[in-house]
Amino acid sequence: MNDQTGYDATIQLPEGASTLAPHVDSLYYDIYWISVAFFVAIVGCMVWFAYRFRRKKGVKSKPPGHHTALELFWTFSPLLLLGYMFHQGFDGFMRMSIAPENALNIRAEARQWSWTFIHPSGRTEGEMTVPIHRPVRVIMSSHPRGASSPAVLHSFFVPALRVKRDIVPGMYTSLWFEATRLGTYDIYCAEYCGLDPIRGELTDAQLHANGRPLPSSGHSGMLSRLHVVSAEEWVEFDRVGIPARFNGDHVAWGEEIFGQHCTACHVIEAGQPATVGPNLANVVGYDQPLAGGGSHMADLDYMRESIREPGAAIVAGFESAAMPSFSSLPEANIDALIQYLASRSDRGAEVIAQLEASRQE
Amino acid sequence: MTAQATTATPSHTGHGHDDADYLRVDTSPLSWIVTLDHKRLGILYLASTLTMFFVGGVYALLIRTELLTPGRTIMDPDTYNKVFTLHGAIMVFLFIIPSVPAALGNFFLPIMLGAKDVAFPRLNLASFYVYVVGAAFALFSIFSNSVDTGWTFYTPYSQTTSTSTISMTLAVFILGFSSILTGVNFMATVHKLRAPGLHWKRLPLFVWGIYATAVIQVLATPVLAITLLMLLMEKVLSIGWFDPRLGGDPVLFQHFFWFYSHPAVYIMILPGMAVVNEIIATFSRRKIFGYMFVAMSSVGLALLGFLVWGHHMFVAGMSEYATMVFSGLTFLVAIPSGVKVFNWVATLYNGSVSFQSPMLYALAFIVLFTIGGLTGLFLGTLSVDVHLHDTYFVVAHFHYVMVGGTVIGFIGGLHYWWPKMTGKMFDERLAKVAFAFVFVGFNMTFLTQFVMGSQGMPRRYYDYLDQFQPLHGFSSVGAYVLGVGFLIMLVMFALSLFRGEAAPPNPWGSAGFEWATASPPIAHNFHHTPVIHRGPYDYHLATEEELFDGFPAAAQKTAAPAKTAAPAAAPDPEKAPAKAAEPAPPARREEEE
Repeated sequence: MNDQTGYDATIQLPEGASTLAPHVDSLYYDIYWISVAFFVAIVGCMVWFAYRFRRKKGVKSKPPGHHTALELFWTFSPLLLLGYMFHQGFDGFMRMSIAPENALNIRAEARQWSWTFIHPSGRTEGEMTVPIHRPVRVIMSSHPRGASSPAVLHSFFVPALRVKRDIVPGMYTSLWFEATRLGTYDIYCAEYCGLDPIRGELTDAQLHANGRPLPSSGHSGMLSRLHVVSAEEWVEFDRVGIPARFNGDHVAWGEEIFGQHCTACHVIEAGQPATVGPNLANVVGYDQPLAGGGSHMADLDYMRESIREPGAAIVAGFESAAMPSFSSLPEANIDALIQYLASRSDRGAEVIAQLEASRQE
Repeated sequence: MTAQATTATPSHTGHGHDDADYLRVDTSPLSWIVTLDHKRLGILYLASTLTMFFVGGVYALLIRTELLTPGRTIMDPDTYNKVFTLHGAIMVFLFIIPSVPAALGNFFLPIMLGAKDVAFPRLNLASFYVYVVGAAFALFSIFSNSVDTGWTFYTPYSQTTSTSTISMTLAVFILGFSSILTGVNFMATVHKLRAPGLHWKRLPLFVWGIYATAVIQVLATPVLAITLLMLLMEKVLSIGWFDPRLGGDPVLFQHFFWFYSHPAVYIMILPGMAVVNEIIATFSRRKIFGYMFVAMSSVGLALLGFLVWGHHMFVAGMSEYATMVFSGLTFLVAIPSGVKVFNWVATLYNGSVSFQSPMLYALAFIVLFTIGGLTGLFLGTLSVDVHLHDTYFVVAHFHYVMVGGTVIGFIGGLHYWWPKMTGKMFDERLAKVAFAFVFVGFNMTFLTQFVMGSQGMPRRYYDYLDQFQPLHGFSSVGAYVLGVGFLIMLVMFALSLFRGEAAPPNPWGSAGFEWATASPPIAHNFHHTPVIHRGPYDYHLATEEELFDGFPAAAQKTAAPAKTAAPAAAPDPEKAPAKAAEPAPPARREEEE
């Protein structure tokens, strides 16, 4: 059931982890060797002729005669090879285009500069988890980051699967794959999706950490990961709640959710200047000055409201930030996120206790 | 003297001011600003496009420096996005498109036809100023709106960051209008101003290439105007063409953009190929093999160029059957491209090949364009393109065709025609050193990027996963080597301008018509309209001495100023090392007797 048929990276191509990869790779190498043969023949002849017929005193060039047969030969004979490449390429493309009937449908929402994957169970995650040896159809849509910003083009690209498809505002696009190898693979955005021009000065650590670009760098930071898990793990995962890989650590899960959805606009380091939205260190458990006067204690209810309906009570000074609503996140995810935020506040203990208690019920 | 009968009966009457070359006939600044001389306009275009090439090149080095290491190296992501946009837009619209046709084409097309000037000299001047206005507009809108959209201006992102799409499309349209005017002018010139005896089968292949380019320019640019109009209608009247919030389709913009910009790729590559034809014929002393096939392949490329724009959108959400048609048509492009390469190689066979700097660039063109063309096969193949699309593989492919092809062709042409344009020779040894740096640096930079791309590195990334660092680092070092090569070339040409020896009329010993006039040419190109009795590559119609020493320009006989004729007659070992051992031009000696 969990036999792995994928293969390792070569100098030219990354590891192959889907049923489409062997087709793409074998055609890639066919074209590669055809190209090498033509290159060697052309450049070999060129160098040989240039040397053999180099200028010598007293030796004249000979005028070319008529060689219509030769001309027609090299005009039309390449059509055979071109026809082969065209046919194989189209054949594979049609296979990529038509998903099997029994495919598992996963929604992918792209926004500047993060991914949200929504499973049939309603589980929402920032990194994508799929079972091995099961066709998966990814149905993709582009969403605005905030009320004042529009949805833009993105492209879902997983090199290890050899799949890519643009995500176009105003329409659904889809692709499918069947993973053949357990492991974690990179997901990229391959269509330029820009950067927030109003962003303030960024530190090096906000741009790049743990060997990866962060969402603050815009398009190049719109990365995620694909986790291909065994059938058994998938059964466990498909259960609603915290992913198994966190071993029940809600703070770690919340930190991942924070990284996926929040770091484009928020920092969470005490003492750092705020970027688009407020610095979220030491927020939970503190009184927050509100726009339009007054203040509100950042308790559990306030935090939940601020994530689901950010416009309801805006912190003074951030009226124009236009944070989008995250009400599409399941309650468990929002609670994990709040638990992470509380863990980064020196007055967060009470909220953590409330959250732990609510899970016991 | 039968063989050099490219020109009219010599006349021994004096020609007064006609004898002055085009550079010295009037040296006041005003005479340059309002010049109607196609040669001076060619020089003006050359100066402006080379300036743009320098600016675009500086941006290229900034990009490669930022990508030297992961994370921030020298600039913010915001700056980086602007820099790569500037690099692309300046190189494509302000440098490559006008480089060969407007600069070298303006200078040599009329001379090759034996004409005094282009058909409409005033239109030619107007076209230059339209280019200047367009360039100013482009630079102004790039800097004032700080465009960070990439040179493709894809909606909707481009419509949201600023009003850049409209102003940039307007700039590109103005620049395109300059192309249209030049194109119309060249078409009329080729049709109406050919010298007696210069029928279509005798046209230099450079002229064929520029002619095919002119046809594309005239036909493709209006589409850009339509796109501009639609963008304006959307902005002002809220008619939803491209904006999904108004019911439009962003992919439609891509169709419109590429319907112009794909033919523009052929506007860029055809002139590069055209230059290479001339160089290969001259330095192998042989008529281009399969002349008509090569000429027709230019026309074929021009036509096919209109039918393949969809291959930029294989993963953009087009119907599968549309992608099938575009993939099939894309493969057909390989046929005329292959025909050209095969015929160039076959031209060397039985030739008498010498390896001066222009020829090195032409041979490099064959190597690099072959790599560029063959890697196009990967991208035309649908299922393989899905993996490679929008990665560095595409970046590398594009640069192999545009830089390895067009820019190398342009630089080769610049070396080849430099003595004719400026009347000065350059230091051949320094030119070969520069060539070595350019060739090695270019391949270091971009071969690496093929591997990066096939490994899955997406393009237009400010930052990347640490695993790509070795390849990115190597590519950046290659870019510095390439930069050093161009710097040496700049020094070499500057030395030539200030200290170069006077060039003879035909330093390379070519049979081409443009070499039959003085270096630099006189203001009216020829004293008399030449009568053409043979093709521009008919080396077999010349005597043995002429094959080695070049054709004496019959036009020079009467009125060549002493300052150009004298050094040409003197044997000069520095001038053309490959010919150093050979005797001085015997034909000219006869004249002086």
